Amino acid sequence: MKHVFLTFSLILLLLSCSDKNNSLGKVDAYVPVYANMHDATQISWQSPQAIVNGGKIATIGNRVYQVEADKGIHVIDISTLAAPVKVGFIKNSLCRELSLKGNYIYTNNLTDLVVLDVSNANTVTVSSRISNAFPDLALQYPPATNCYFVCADPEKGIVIEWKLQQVDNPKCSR
Amino acid sequence: MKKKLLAVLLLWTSFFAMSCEKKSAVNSSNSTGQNGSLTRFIITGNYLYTISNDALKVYDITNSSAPVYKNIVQVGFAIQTIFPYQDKLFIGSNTAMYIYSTANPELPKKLSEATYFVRGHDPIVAVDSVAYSTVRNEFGGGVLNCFNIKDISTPQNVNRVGMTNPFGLGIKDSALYVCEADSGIKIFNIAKAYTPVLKNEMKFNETAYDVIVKNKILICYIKGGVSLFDIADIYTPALIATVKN
Repeated sequence: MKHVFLTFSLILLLLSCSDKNNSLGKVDAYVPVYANMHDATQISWQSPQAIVNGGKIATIGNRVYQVEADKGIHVIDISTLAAPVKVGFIKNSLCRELSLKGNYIYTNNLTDLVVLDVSNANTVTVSSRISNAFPDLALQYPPATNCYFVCADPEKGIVIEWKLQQVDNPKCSR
Repeated sequence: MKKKLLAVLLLWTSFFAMSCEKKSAVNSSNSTGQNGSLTRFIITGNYLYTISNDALKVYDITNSSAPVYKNIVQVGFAIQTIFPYQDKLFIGSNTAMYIYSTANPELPKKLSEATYFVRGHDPIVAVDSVAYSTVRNEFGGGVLNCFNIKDISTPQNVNRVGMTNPFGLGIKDSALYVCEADSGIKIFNIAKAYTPVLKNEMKFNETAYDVIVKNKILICYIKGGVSLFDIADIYTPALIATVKN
């Protein structure tokens, strides 16, 4: 009797697996974090932040700049080599790359090329912007393959981050 | 070449002197910063070169605050890094190293390409008649490739050195620094350009991804921050400080 019950359950389970809509249940999946265009294009000087996912570096004069992937740029003063110190953080959505000339930082904001003027202490101003110079840098997909994710909905805004969460039956995968 | 280097060094020194006086981190409007080898943006002369997945874009930044888009050049599939040396651009992809001439800086022209035997990620540095590139396999291991570029139209892969987990790299005189993630930084003597000799291995409890050589300082991009090394002795970097978290 017990066996019959087990077999029956197994068949039910198999059947439910083949049903695409209800099969997954709660699984790890990437969920898009949205921002509106106005907020995502705001670039501002902030107090120093923790380096969490530090990325590429560049240097000029007594400064080192380090990308915080997708979030912005850490500004590090190395005038005293024995005691380098973070002096600020430039908030810049989807930041990935940077290059330096004089008092200017060339970087990406979302998929735009922007030039940031950092000649005044604790201030950053956007000197110019060239729209959609780097379409590749859009965060259309999560930062992983062989994963489930919640499909990005352009109506909700621009994706500025993917967060791994428990999701009920995510509809997208890659 | 040496004179040029000396001039650059002198320039740097005078910057430092100037910035010390003013203490306001203001740079001369025309000085160019330095990038690590993993970069997709570089500035050389009055031009900003950027690479996307398959193309190189050129911007005139003579007026620093207002780049002017000039051209797009299709390079190849999955390009990842760009390195300028003299009037050349070295572009690394998943499968090849491409060399472009910037004799006409607004429209770089392809001179040659060299394909790899292994697929991977590959920053490049070059000096005189040699180019070094690391190729890291996606499943572990990798190599340091040495290319003879005396004849720039036909780069020859003359040597391959096995590596553990290679990332970015940088050169100071006859020292080549190769970041090996958890295995720290390997230092090669490249006095004989095509036969790098492992001189030193430096593990420092950090995961090393890339370096910038800045005079006598090695700036290292580590997981979660930046480390500074004194390289007065080029083969023996001495840790000065780390900024983390």
